[in-house]
Amino acid sequence: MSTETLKYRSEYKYKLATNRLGLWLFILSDAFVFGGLLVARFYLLGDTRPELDQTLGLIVTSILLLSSFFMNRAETAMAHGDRQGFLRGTLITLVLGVVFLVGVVGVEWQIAPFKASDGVIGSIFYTMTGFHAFHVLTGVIFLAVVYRNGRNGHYSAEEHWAVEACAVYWHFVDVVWIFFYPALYLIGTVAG
Amino acid sequence: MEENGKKQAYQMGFYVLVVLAVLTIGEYLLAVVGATWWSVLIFIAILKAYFVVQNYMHLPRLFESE
Repeated sequence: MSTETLKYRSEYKYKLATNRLGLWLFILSDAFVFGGLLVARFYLLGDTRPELDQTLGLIVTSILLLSSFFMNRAETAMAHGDRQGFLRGTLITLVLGVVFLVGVVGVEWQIAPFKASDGVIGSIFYTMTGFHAFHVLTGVIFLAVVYRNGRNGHYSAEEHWAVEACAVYWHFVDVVWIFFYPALYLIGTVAG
Repeated sequence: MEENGKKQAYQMGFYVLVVLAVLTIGEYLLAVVGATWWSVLIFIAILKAYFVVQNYMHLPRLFESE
């Protein structure tokens, strides 16, 4: 291996380490916003929860968890040089992300028996799900960009930071929903 | 060797999905039967988040030496 190649690899490893730190710091700062929303939910609603379809909640949650599984597969595939596996996993994740969005914004928002203007419950529910849906949407756009680049021959087993960043961001969106799901759909009794 | 590593990583991803699925169905059933056990539901959520952060987000990578 030439000296130039060794220098390039060393620089890439350094950049990768700083990129990872930067991404995790961003995620930490974003987590504080979601944490604030969760605190607001428990402070304002206490032992009550919005009147929502729990089965629909379980379905959209399962879809998002499944999407994380396929995202992990896609990242693993690229880390092992399997481009077809990466493209397949990314595309499935993207489709599941869109299905989740349709489930929450297209269905849940339409059938919920309250509006955003209907007091505290409406404000909390639409702010939490809306802010999260916005993150899912940006994640879907990120996935589309990474998929397109992957199809055009970008990324390799050694260098695929964008894929890793996309995967970490997507899983973060999943982690947020892991807490939002019980907070909105499961904990407490339905507010009368 | 390389193929073996990929297979193992896929397997780990699948095991995590199974654990997440079991925990999600568990918390759903817990809520549907009418229990309002905050602490149990929050504990399950923390457990699920731990599995995702550790195995899917690969948090330990952050502390790898350059």
